[in-house]
Order: sequence, then structure tokens, then C-alpha cells
Amino acid sequence: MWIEHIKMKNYRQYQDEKVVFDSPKEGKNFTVIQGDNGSGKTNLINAVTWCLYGNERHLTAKNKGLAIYNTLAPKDLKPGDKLEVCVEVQFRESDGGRIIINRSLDYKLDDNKKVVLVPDLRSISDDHSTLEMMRQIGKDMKEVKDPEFIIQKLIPEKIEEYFLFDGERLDEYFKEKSGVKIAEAVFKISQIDLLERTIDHLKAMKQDFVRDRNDLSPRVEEIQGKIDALTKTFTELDNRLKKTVGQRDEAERLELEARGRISQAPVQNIGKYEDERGELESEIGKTKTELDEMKRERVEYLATSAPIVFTIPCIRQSIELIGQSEAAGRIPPEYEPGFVKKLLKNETCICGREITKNSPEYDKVRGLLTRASPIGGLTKRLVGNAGSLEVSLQKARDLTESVTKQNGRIQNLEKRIESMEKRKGTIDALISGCDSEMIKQYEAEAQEYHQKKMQLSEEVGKLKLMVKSTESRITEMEKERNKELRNQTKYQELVSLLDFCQDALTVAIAAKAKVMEDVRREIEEQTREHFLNMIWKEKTYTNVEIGEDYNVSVKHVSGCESIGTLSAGERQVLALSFVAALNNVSGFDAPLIIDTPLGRISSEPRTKIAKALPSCFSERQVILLMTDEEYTPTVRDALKDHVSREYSIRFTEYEDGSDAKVIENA
Amino acid sequence: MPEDEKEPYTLCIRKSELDIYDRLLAEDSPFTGFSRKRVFLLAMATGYHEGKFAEVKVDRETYVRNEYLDREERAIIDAVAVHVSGNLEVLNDTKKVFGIAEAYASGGLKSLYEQVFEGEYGTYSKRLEAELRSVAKKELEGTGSESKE
Repeated sequence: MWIEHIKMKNYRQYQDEKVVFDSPKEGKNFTVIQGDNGSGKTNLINAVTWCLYGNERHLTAKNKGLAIYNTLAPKDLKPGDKLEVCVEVQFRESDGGRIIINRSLDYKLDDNKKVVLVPDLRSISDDHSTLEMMRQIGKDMKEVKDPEFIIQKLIPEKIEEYFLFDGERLDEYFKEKSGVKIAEAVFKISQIDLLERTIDHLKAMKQDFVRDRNDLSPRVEEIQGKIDALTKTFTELDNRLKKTVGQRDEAERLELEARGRISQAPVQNIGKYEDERGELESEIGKTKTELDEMKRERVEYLATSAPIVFTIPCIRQSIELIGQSEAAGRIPPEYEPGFVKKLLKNETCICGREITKNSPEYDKVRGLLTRASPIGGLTKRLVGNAGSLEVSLQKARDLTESVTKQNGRIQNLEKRIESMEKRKGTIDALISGCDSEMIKQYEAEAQEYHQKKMQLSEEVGKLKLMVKSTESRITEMEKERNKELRNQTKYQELVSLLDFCQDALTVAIAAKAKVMEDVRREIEEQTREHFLNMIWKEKTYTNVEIGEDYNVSVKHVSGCESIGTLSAGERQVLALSFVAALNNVSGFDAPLIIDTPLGRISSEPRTKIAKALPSCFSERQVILLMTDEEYTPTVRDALKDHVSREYSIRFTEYEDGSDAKVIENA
Repeated sequence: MPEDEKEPYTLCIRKSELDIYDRLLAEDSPFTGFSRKRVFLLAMATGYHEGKFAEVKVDRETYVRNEYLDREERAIIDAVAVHVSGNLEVLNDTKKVFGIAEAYASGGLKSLYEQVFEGEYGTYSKRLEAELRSVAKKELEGTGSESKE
């Protein structure tokens, strides 16, 4: 792949320039662009890196503060006018197809006549520039939608520095032993970042697999052990259940047998009849006792009532006479005879005075006795009798009702006894002539088997529950086991993946090491070849080595290490040799642009290097940006067979800017 | 009992009647377990009801002590005496009152015995019940007759 042209518009000192290059074929793969220091050589490299990557990598300190647009351009603009900065690089691929890459940046003049950026808001570049790419497909040029991606495929940005570089800065690689920089270069040029990313990816995957595997930790064996134990329990319980069901059925059969025998007997449930009979006898006895007691109570009641009822006329007469006496005032008496007699006995007057016998007062008190009622002394008794007799009369009135009640109770008891006697007679008739002992035995057997059957039925129920529960637990455990089995499958898959990952990692690491080693060795070989070819002290240095630690060693003829004692020019030769080796080993068919390739080389060696350069970069487009001091007649002569075009930069400085023209030498 | 009288008086029977009383109180009698006064009063009532009056003047045997009688029983004994005498003054003479009771008891004892033991077994109480119902109905509905003495 080579550059067909570079077009620059309003870019730095180039107002409107197009530099055309020839195909590197036919041995003329060099283009020389000659210019003084500050004329714009380095900005040609910057134009290319800006176009490709949106980054001016080789800006000098002087240019860093300046605008990217040509400062002469706004002069003729009016406010609102647009100012476009544009660099276009056209490549021709090895198959003949063209690629046109164009990067532009828009400015405009504002009302204050200041140039302001008009950013491309869709741009992904830091400077908001617009990148466009056209690629030849067949005969047509078609726009590429993802130009950044294509550019990375053509000349990856990370190795751009080995294709577009400043020759004066090359020797910095070897100023000191810097294995890191060399290793970095080897690493980048080897394009093993894919392997590196693969290794990183594999490591990350491995960590994920290890974590997933640790999370899974299947418990299949543990659960299977539980299932086995439960299955054993289930079998035992099921056997017990079957056995118990058999026992229950047998008990039921025996019970039915016994009941069958009982059913064939003339009287069934004879035991019950006998029990009932016994109970009846007992109850009849108690009831008879109660009846006797009741009758005795009735006799007593009648015997007690008889003196009242038979003497009702007497009672009535007494009550009547007592009433009449009360009505007549005979009771209570005016003077109570006992009281009067007591006064007379004590010879005391009613008023408390003493009275003597036969005295008028004594006679007067004694006279009160004649006025006392003959029943006056019975008052209390009569009143009491009247009350008692009234009670007796009431009892006589209650007699009929009381006796009726008593009789009713007696009749009830008699009926009850009669009923019980009748039932007892029926039972006696029923069980007479039966072998009650045999029937009782059958009944006892039936009852025993019945109880046994009930006990066994209960046990069967319990066992069924236990069997069902165990079965459910087994089902649950099997589900859990199946889940764990799935986990185990996943676990085994993970282990396989982990093994595979580890194997892939080992292979990738080994491949990386091998590629690195192969590349290192090849670069070492080519560097040695180019160095020994270009170095003017042909007999001073015998070998160049790049060690496994990527430290470069230049061997002195004496066998000593010389890298530390190389001159600037020698270091630049070494660097050119190294870069040439890198270019060739990289496999990228990219053009090479070297700024001041011979800047640090003195005049005599310069010619030798110039002669060797074409062999270092054969069949690759090489654009050399050189000063007059570099591009001496001898150098020109050394390169003339390989240079297709020569250009000179004509730089003009104005008060408010500068302009550079690239003029092809006649 | 007059307040100034010195009791105790006792209700007496004839000595010859004692066996009858014992028999009436024997185990095969419907009155077994009864007190003496209960049988005495029943004999008295029977005697009064049947109008049988036989004074006990000789061979007297104390049978019921006065203090064993309750107020109601004593009132009935008094009532019989009042009825026989036609006045309340008789009650001033306890000896007479008790004598009337003893005479009716003695008069009714034999009849009572016969009713209890000489009738069909178990019929005495039925006959007594029927008699009592009849008498009560008659006396209490105002159709009662005077003493049968």
C-alpha cells in the first residue's frame, strides 16, 4: 500500500497543496522532500497522522500553540464566512484499489472577525473534526461508514510510530539500555495483542468458571444417601402395613366367624339378656323395697290422720266453744285466779300493800275469786288448742289429695314392678334351654376379635399416613437430587470448560511466548543485518543481539558490550536498522515517512547509510523529509536509482502568517 | 293442762290389753315400728268413731306418758273430752280428760285389732283409707253426724 497523494488545504503553512507520489514498484520506492528547518517538513507527517488519527503527533514546540488553520486564510473572509481545514491522503492498495481518507475541520469568521470552530457534533475525534473515507469497490468509489476501523486495519495507530517517525529521535531507544521500550515495540509489532486479549479473556473466564463451580458444589451423594435411607424406611413401613392389613383382615374374618356361630344359636346376645335380667331383678328388688316403704308411709299417714279425721266433730266443737268463750269474755279472765290466789297466799294487795287474813282488804281480794271464770285458768291452753286443732282440721282437708298422691306413687311403683317382671319373664322364656356359656364364649371371642380389628385398623391408618409421608419425602428428595444432578452436570460442564480454559490459556501463553520469541529473533536477525550493513565501522562491531529480556546488545570486536559507548550517529543507524526490521517483520504493507533520517549522521557515514537504506526498505514506499545538510550530492547520488520524485518546500513568511509550497524539482 | 296442776298424768290401758298392743306393734303388723302413743291414739279414734267407750277403772297399766304427747295430739285428746262433756271446763280435770281418752282407746282396741289381723292381709290400710275419705268428705262438707258415743 502506498500514498498516491497528500492534499492539504488551509492546514498549517500549507494553504492549498497537493503532493503526488509514485508507485514504489520498479525499485524506485523513495521520494525525497527537501526543505529547510521550519519550512514544513514535519507538518507533512503531522498532516498524515492528523488525517489518519485526528492527532498531530510530531508537532514541534513552536507549532503546539498555533492554530491548525493557515493564519493567512481568514484575511479575505467576511464575518460568517466558512474556513475549512482539510487534509486528504489517497492510498493505493496492493490490489490496485484506491482509498481516499479526508479529515476536515470547519471554522468561521464571527462578527468580531475572530475565527471560531464549528464543531462536527457527530465526530468522535477530540478536535471535533470530520473524517470521511471512500474506498474503491470494483470501479466505483464508495463511502466507508466506519473509517476509523479500516484505518486501524491498514496502519494500526499503536504502531504508527514505526512508520511515520522523526529520525533524530530514533536513537532515544538505545541511549540507555531500555528493554522495556524494545519489548513494547516487539510486542506491538508482533500484533499479539489479540493473543494478549485472548489470554486476559481466558483468565477472566477461568475466574468466572471457578466461582460458578464453587457456587454449585453439588450434594448428589448426600441426598442420594438420604433417599436410600428413606426408601429403606418406606419398604419397612410398607411391609409392616401389608402385614398389619393382613392381621386386621384375619381378625375381621375371625370376628365374622364368631358372629356367624352366634347367629346360628337360638338366642343371640345371651350375655346381654342375662345382664338385663340381673339388672331387672335388682331393680325390681329396689322398687319393691321402695313400694313397701311407700306403703308403710301411707299406713303411717293414715294411722296419724285417723285420730284427726274420726274426731272432726270433737275438733269443731272445741274450736267453736273456745271461740264462744273468747267472744263472751271468759277468756281471757278479768282476774286471773292463779294471780289472785298468789296475792292471798302472800297476803299482799294488788297495789302492793300488806294485807292480813280476815281483814276487809283480804276478804275483798278473795272476793275477786268468785268473779273469776271457771276456765280462766285454761286460757293459754285453750288458745293453744284452738291453733293446733285448726292445723289438724287443715290436715283432714288435705287428706284426700295427699292420699291420692301417695296412691299414685304406689301405683306407679307397682306398674313399674309389673313391667319389669313381665320383661324378666320374657327374658327367662327366651334364654331357657340355651347353652348360654357357649354363646357367651362366642360373644367374648367376637368381641375380642372386634377389639383387635379396631386396634389393627388404627395401626393401619397410622402406617398409611407414615407410608404416604415417607413417599412424599422421597419424591421431594428425588426432586432435590435431580436438581443437584442438573447442577452436577453443569458442574462437570464447568469443570470441562475450566480444563479447556486452562488448556487454552496454556496454549495462548505459549503461543504468545513463541510469537514474541520468533519476532524477537527475526527482528534481532534483521537488525543485525541492517546494522552491520549500514555501519561505517565495519570492523569495530561484530554482532547485534536482542536478548530474552529485550535488551539490545552491540558487540565490539573485542567481545565487549558497546551499546553504552555508541555515538549518536551509530545509535541512529542502530535505530534505523531496528525500525527497518520492525517494519519488515510487522507484515504491514504501509508507507514509511522518515523525518530527518540522517540528521545526526556525519557526512562520510551518511553516504554509506544512504546507500544501505534501499536494501533496508525494499519494495516499500519511503518518503524522506530531509534538510539540505542531509540531502547532500553524495546522498542524492547514493539514492538516485531509488528516488522517483524529489520535491522542495518553498516557504514564504508573511507578517500575519506563512505559506509553503511543495515544488517538484525539475 | 291447768297451770296449777302438777303433772305428770299418764294414759293407761288395761293390763290385759297390753298383749294386743304388743301384737299390733309386732313385726307382722302394719304398725310395726310405730310408737305406743300412735297406736293408742288410733285405738282411741277407732273407739270414738265406732262409739265404743269402756272406762278403765281397774288393772290399769301406764302405757303413754303425758310428756310424749305433742301439742296437736294433746289438743285432740282435749277435744274428745270437751265433746263428751259438752263444755270446756272439763279441761280443768286432766284425770277426767285422760279417762275419756283411755275409755275410747279401750273401746276401739279390739275393733282395731280385728280390722288389722282378721281381715285379708293388706286390706286394713285400704279399708282405713276408704273410711277416712268417706268420713272426711262427710264431715268437712257439713254433712257430719254427731259423736257416736
